[in-house]
Amino acid sequence: MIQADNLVKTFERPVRIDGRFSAVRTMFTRQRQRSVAVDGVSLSIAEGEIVGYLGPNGAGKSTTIKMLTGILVPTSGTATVAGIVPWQDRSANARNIGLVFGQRSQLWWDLPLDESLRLIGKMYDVEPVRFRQNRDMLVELLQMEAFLATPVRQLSLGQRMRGDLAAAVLYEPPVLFLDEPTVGLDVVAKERMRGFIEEINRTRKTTVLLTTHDLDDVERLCQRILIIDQGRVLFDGPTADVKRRYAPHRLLDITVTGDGAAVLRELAQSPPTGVTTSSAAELTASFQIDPTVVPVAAVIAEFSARAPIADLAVREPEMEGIIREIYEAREITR
Amino acid sequence: MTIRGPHPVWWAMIRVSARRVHIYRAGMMFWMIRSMLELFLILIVWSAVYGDRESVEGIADDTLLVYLTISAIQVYILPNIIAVEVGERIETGQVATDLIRPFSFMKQMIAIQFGSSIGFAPACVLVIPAAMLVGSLELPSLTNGVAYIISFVLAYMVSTLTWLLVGLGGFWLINIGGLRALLSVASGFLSGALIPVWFMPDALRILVQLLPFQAMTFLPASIFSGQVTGTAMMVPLLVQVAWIAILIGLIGWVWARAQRKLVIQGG
Repeated sequence: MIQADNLVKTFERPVRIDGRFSAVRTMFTRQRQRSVAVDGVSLSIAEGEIVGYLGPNGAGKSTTIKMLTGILVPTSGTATVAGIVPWQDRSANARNIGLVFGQRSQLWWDLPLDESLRLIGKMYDVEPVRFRQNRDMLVELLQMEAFLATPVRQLSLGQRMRGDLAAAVLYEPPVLFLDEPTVGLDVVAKERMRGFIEEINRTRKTTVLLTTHDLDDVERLCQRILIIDQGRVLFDGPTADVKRRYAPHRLLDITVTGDGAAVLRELAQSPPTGVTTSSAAELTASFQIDPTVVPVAAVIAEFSARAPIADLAVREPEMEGIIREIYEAREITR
Repeated sequence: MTIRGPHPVWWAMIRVSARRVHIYRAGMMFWMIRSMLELFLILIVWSAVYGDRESVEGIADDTLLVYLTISAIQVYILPNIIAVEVGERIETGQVATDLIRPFSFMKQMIAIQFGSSIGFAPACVLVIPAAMLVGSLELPSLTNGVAYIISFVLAYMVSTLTWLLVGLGGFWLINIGGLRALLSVASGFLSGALIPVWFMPDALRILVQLLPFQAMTFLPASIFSGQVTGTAMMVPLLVQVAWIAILIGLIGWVWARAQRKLVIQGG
């Protein structure tokens, strides 16, 4: 559904000149500085997939999305979205895609939300009957009844984002691009947003490409993720594989009863092979287990044989931490 | 081939834009006061120039009076909000959302301009008695009247396209405030609203003829005031049509380049 091949986008800006009269000299300089925002991104997304597109700030996520939506023309490379080269046939592409920018609204600021939706219906040639069905369905699903008549400028961020999502899917586009759709939203609003994306994907088979910094979005919605940094793809695969590849270990937290303090100290000081101690207090300790060396069950069996365990929990490492490690690892090579 | 009316989205966008005129309301008020003040001052200067004479260089003083009055009205009515809209959208990056519509950016902007003109029609009607109070309006002959209406419509198109082109300058300049200020002063002078083109020295007149501004003001005003009559009226009308063609060509050329130049401000 979405196919990109070696997309590159470079931007040019005048070089800032330091020293005397720097402002004047900067103004008249002909020297240009090139920066590469996207550096050979290739990706392929099938119909009905929800793919998370991750990367630190300035990694090139939004620039990629802007090329795939036809807003920007790439410096080189090709792409097709639902069979159309987006920047070559903007208006045909526009009918196939919905786009939500978390940081910017596509609604008409001065108009009531309802009026904006009606205008979008007209723009995308939605049949009146169809329009009413879709509109009513969206109003109900996104709970927008209360603020339909309010001008967009007076909506709260959460309400506005719901309006923007409704605007993006009103004409039933087969592809949906979401650029940080949950940024700045509270927990409830985020959850409502995710539920809606899931619902649209399930009922309409909408293909979704979503950028976010919120890893709960990813874990909840995306079967697959792409991680990019400095304009290049670092990882492309099932979400579960990120953990398998970058953080295969499991975390084991144990709490012992009062008389187990000494045994616990001993375990923490010299853990068995394949186990490392992450933290230890008097009655609680956390261990990291590498399951390729020793099965988690074997470790638990050994621990419970030796210490009077009161409570025990096995955790997967959190997505947040893994992604942070991936970003930081890149940072070092800069 | 079937003939279809304009796409319904035109009406929808025009209606939407007409409903948001309140954004510009205060601006239009001051603009009206400015236009009438300007007309008043121009008339003082010109009546001093004419003194007791009834005509200068073959232009009768009452013709001049009508000319200056209708020019002032046109300067007030003709569109330029399109330059502000386009400029702002580029500067804030809002243009990104306009570009993902199935309806072209240029059409959206023109529809916004039409809508705001309609929204402001009542204010434009108000300016006529104000101008009559300050200056003088004498209705033209029937043929000149008809030709004037055509010429005014063409002037409206020239004005829309010129200021659209100025707005597109934002793709290179980011902020077009300075350019717009420069051009609105230049247009006041070079359109013949202050000094009729008849009285300009040759060199200046050539410059004026090389720019589109006279096609907004001078040409229709010279038809209205009866300075041009009969088949000679074809000349200004054709000049206006030529400007529309040139501007459409220029906009297409600029737009093609702008797309490669585009940087979305604010991520």
